Amino acid sequence: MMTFDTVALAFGVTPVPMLLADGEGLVRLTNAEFDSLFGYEAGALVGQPVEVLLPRAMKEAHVGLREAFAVLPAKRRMGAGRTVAGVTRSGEALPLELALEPVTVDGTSMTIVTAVDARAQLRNRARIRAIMDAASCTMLVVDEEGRIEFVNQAVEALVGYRPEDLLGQTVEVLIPEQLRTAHRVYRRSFSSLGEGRAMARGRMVSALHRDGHAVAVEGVLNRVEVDGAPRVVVTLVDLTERVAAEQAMSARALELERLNADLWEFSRSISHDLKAPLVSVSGLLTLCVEDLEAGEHGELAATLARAKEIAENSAAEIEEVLRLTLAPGVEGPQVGVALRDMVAELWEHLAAGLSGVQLRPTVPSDLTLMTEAPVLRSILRNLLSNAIQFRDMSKPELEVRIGAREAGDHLELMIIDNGIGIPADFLPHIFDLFARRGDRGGSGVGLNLARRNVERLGGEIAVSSELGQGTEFTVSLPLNQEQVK
Amino acid sequence: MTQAYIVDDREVDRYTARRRLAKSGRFTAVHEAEDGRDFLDKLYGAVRTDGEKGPLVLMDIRMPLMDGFETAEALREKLVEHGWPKDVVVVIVSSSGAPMDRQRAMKTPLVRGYFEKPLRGHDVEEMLKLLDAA
Repeated sequence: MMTFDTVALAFGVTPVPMLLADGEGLVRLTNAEFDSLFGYEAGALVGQPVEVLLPRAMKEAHVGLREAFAVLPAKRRMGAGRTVAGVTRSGEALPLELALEPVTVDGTSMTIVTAVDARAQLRNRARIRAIMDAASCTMLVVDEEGRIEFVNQAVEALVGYRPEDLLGQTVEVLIPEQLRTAHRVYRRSFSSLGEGRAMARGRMVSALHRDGHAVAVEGVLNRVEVDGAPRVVVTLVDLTERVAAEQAMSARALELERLNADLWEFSRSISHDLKAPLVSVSGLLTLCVEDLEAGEHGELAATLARAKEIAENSAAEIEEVLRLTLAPGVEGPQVGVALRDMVAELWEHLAAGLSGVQLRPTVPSDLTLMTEAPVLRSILRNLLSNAIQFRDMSKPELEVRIGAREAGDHLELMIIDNGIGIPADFLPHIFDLFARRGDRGGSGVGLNLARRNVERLGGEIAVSSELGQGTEFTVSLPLNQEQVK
Repeated sequence: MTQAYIVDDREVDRYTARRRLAKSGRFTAVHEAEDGRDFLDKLYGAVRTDGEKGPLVLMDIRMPLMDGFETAEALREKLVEHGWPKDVVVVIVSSSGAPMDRQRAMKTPLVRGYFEKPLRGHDVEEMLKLLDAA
């Protein structure tokens, strides 16, 4: 049987603030610690209703609660995070953690109230929250049932929810629908694992954004103890940028691989183009040597002349490429070029040995142009050889028409063929370096070279084409160089 | 008696091959084609000559429209379709010494040999052996 004196004795020795209230809610006893916590003189609270210790807003409701407690007393332990508000004598708010213990003192039902100042604890929590809120990754504290007890501000940037939207919800709200059931199982098995296996290493998983899309995240789980209760701290790092960067990297790798293949094909093509004439010359000269040895002189002169011509043409072609790549800005001498003669000479060389090709020049025979002759020759050679290379075999013959007309201060040259034409989607790339079409050979250099040469002469080149009909190149060259008629 | 076809877009190389084949004295006729399609047109446009070996086909690799390998493949299809010329011997004659081209030639149907340009006298002797063995 507990007496008032025993209670008083106990209150006297405990360092914990304590209060004894009777069934009417009147304070019967406090200890010095309690009085000092609330800022009262020693014993000043005795005889007062406990509601004096409560904020005004709660006073009325508390009377009802107190009466219910008197009818059905239940022990109330201190619990983590359950703070209530008290008020000091001076009116200052005092966060408290309270325990209520129903007791019988001298045969009367009373209640012992233990109060602990929660200010320091709340400050600590606020400090931890502030630190977690400052973190750039998303952090959640989840209880044993999977309910979100705390989540930092970073969550909003990641999944579109504000922290207050998520508190008290189970973490499955952040899991894509189809994975939720599995996640519940994982979660339970995780919480039943032993300490040693408490950490799951970071894995890439999907989080569900508020708007329904999946966000790639790396998740790390850590088991911790918060105020004596087991909790799991979940750290989520947004991988969206990393995934995008990885995708960009692999796209880049593919692109490089393609470029490499192009470059390989290009060097193969170039080496062929450089080697082929030398091989031809070597073949012709070997024949000449054999003819000389056999004393057969019938074809000797013609064969030697051929070898000489190929060697000269080849040297001139290499010269052209070198001029552009090694001395792009250096201007060569301007000479008068009879356009018609130049076209005829080139055609004779390019179309030699080909059947079913014809040239229809509509160039006035007296049209002479002051320009860098080798550059103009290179342009025309590339355009004419392009027409030959892409001729349409289903047509009885390849026709190339060359036209020239003055347009203001420019000379317009038209090179029109009835070849296979250029597909519309390829047309914009036709002048790109290494742009090759189909398997018709070619190094993908010729038309690029042509454009660069046209630009070197201060002109412009344009193309129009219709698949199956033919292609028309228009080269526009400035006439500011004095034109000689 | 044997006929030969030279399939090459470079006229000067056709000339060299023509002279080489002429020196051997083995061919009744030497035809020239500047690409694969031209070759197939000429071959199947010709009068079918039974009881002859060959023809021998000298095939360049890099040509417009159809390269040498594609042309050999197309020839095989035509051969299946028309049933002749059963004794055709295709040899690659290319300025390329790339191992890749040699390997591809080995895998290409009907191709029996690979010769690097320029053609020499002994190359033609080699071709004639291939022709006789066929």
